Amino acid sequence: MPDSAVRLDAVTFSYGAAAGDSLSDLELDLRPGEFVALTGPSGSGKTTLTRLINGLIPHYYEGVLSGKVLVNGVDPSSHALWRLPVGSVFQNPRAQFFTTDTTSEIAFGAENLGLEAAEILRRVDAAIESMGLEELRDRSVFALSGGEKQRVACASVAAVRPPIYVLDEPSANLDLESTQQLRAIMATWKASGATVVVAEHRLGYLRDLVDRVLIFADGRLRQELGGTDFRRLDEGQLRRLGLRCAWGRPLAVASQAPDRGYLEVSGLRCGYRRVGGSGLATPRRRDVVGIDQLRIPKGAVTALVGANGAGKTTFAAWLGGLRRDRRGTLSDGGRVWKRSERRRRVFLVSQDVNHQLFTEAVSTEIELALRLASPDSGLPAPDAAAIMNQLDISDLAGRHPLSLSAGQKQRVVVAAALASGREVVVLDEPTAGLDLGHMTAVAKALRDLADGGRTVVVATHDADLVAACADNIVRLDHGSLAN
Amino acid sequence: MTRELFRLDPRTTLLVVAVLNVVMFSAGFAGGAGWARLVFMAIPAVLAAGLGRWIAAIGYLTAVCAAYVLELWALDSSLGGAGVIVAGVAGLVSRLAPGVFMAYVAVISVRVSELMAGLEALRLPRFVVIPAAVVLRLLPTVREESRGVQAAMGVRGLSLGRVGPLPWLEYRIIPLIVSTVRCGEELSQAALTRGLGRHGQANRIARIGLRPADVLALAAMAAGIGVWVAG
Amino acid sequence: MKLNLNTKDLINVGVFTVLYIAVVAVCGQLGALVPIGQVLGPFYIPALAGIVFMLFLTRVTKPGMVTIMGVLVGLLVLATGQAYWVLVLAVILAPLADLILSLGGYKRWINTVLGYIVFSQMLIGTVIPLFFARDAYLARLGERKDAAWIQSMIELTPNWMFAVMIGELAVGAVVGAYVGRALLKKHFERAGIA
Repeated sequence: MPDSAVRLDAVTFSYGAAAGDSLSDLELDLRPGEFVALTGPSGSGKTTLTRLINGLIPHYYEGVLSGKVLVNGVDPSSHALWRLPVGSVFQNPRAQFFTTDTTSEIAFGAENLGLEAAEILRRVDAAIESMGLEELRDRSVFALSGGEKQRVACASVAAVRPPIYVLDEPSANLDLESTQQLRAIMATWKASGATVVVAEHRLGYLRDLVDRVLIFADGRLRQELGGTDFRRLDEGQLRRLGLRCAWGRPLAVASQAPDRGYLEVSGLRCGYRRVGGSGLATPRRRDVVGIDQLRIPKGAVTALVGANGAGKTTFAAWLGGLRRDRRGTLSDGGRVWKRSERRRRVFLVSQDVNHQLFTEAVSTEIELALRLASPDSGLPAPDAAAIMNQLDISDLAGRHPLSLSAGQKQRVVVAAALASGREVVVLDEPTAGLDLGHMTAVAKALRDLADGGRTVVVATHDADLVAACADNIVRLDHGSLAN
Repeated sequence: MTRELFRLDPRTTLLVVAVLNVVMFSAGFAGGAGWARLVFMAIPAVLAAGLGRWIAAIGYLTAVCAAYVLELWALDSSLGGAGVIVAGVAGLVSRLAPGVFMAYVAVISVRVSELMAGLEALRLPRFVVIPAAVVLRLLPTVREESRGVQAAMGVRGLSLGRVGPLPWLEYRIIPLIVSTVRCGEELSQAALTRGLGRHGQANRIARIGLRPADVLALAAMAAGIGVWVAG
Repeated sequence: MKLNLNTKDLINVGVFTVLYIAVVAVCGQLGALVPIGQVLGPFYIPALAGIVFMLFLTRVTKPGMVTIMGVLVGLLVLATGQAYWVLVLAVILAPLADLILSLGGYKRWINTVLGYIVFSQMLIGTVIPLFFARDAYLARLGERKDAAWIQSMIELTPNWMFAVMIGELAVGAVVGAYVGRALLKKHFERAGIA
């Protein structure tokens, strides 16, 4: 066994023509069995480091590489990808499945290696058992929640039994409970003696596991902390290092809602079902969002919280008039907004912002929204430049919206919402996977919307975001209001 | 799981798709050929019902039977030119619909893992197996993305009437392409880091092979072709 | 011929095949919304699918990818109940298009346009039964109908329409190549995926 799991010697990499964040002059030595967290703002190069370790550089991203990389004693560039002793879990649970049923997906890596069928089945069973995935066996991957998908992805990698695991922001789209389950899986890997490298913004759930934390900025390794030193940091110190509040914080509002009246939801019954497809009987569990009465303060930010599957997205879609359900009303001072009116007055920013950006430049995107703005909102209509200024995206005016980072895209869509002149803006998980800087910028944008007289509802499980901008918390639990 | 009984081996499914389309476009109206078309019209309905898609199966069967009867009726009455058009349209529907519905059945019933196992068992090369698997894998994803874009256009008020056909198409297509291509890149990376790039035989654990449902489907097809040839 | 395609190439073929089909489906949606869409089908389908094809070509450097995509499109069209003629034509035309494109290194513009024209012609397969299988169709009808009736049917689908459709496909493909190139510059290069 080599004495280094991963060894980098004066490594510099840039993507060349392709998009990505370069790394310069990196020296690194990870011991076998070490648990290492990589952190730092987006664009700092931590994802690039994960790709150097798992061989996607240079096998998938060619770019310009200098220096020496050794993974378990071998140079990834001189070995085929499938020979490398590294298992990888990625950020987007939706896109990393090659097959459509969970059992085959868990077996996929082991199958490709050409192992004996009996051995594959043994490893699949072992992975399922050690991760407690029994109830996820033989399910359609399209019918899984984000957390379930991420656990299946982990099992698929584990069935290959690599000595090194590399995870790139695996918790970005997960709620608290799923994040804890992910933590438990990583703990078993660590206990088995494997080397684990995790790139993350939110390190809270890894607190007890990390042996070392590497903090990156602008493509360089800026600071290294031992596990014990890291655990001693308080919130202020973390913030100064540019890190998200690491230790899970309780939900708390930033301020009190101003008294500008209420929008009132009453008698809502709204059925929802997880989507299914592709060859598998999906559990046709029908859940219902049932809200007898709820007041949403106008001109304030209301945080809609609750676990994945609690009905937040369904409720958000209903508010935006995307659903046909007839039972339930939204009213403003006794006047009911019908569905068509909700569609005109509510701007819904759904979870995947990539679907909501249509034009070739940020400024054009805002101008398009201004051109289609509702004339009857009664709110002042600022011009594109003012809106971009307000959201701090003026320097992005000429960029293609789909080339931006996730946090920048969120702000562009919020800018479009502002330009649309709608009175209510509903957002679904706007800060999933964002670093401290981007999260703060989105929080400020939402605060500004509310202070400018708009009613904001944000479905989220980001306690940092709630603390930074919310006036009011509404908790959904299995479709009902919880206290 | 009773639904498992109605799932075919992926190779049987592909065979049904192919034979069904050939029969629909080659068989005529009356006698044995007409019976053959009826048999093949029924096959996807039975499969869909067996998979629990009763509403889809009944809806399809009603539509296709109506079209079939209408075609025969328009040909037999002396309606002149109008009859030709009615028969033409109804005939097209009754010949197209079974293929479309069978494709739907194939997409909802064949798992990617089974398709790969089935095609690899036929010793087909990687350049057939991998693209075919990716197509089947991404069809539901593209549909989901497409709906997402459509919903977002609704939110933004980007309707055909307000923006005109060319911008409408641009807004409709560009985000769809960009997000699907990005999804494909992630899929690619996840697959490559799990050994898909290895040449040489992979062992798949998906269960394939002849099951009772395959025998019944093959028998039904043989019967359909039998009455056509005989009649 | 030995194909020199790696797994990344093969996955790309799958991705762009799905997109090609998806764009054709969206075209169908527009066709249903705008009345004139139906008549102009052979023109605007290649014109819009050109967006996908031009983006696909930015990922093609080796022979084989265009051929596999063409055959897969043919198979998918077959699986959606259209006539098998598209598949038959794809097996002939896709390798030919691939050859033309490869002679230009998948870069030279004139080869790109010509290659895409050839590739798009496979779509004529969707209407072949209307024209060439018609005689067989009418012969079967002849057992039951008189000659005047059959004559009126022939007049509804004149043979010259077939040539018009081939022309429409070719013009649509040229437009599609230019539209695709324009959108590469306007969107895909700037969005970082070309």
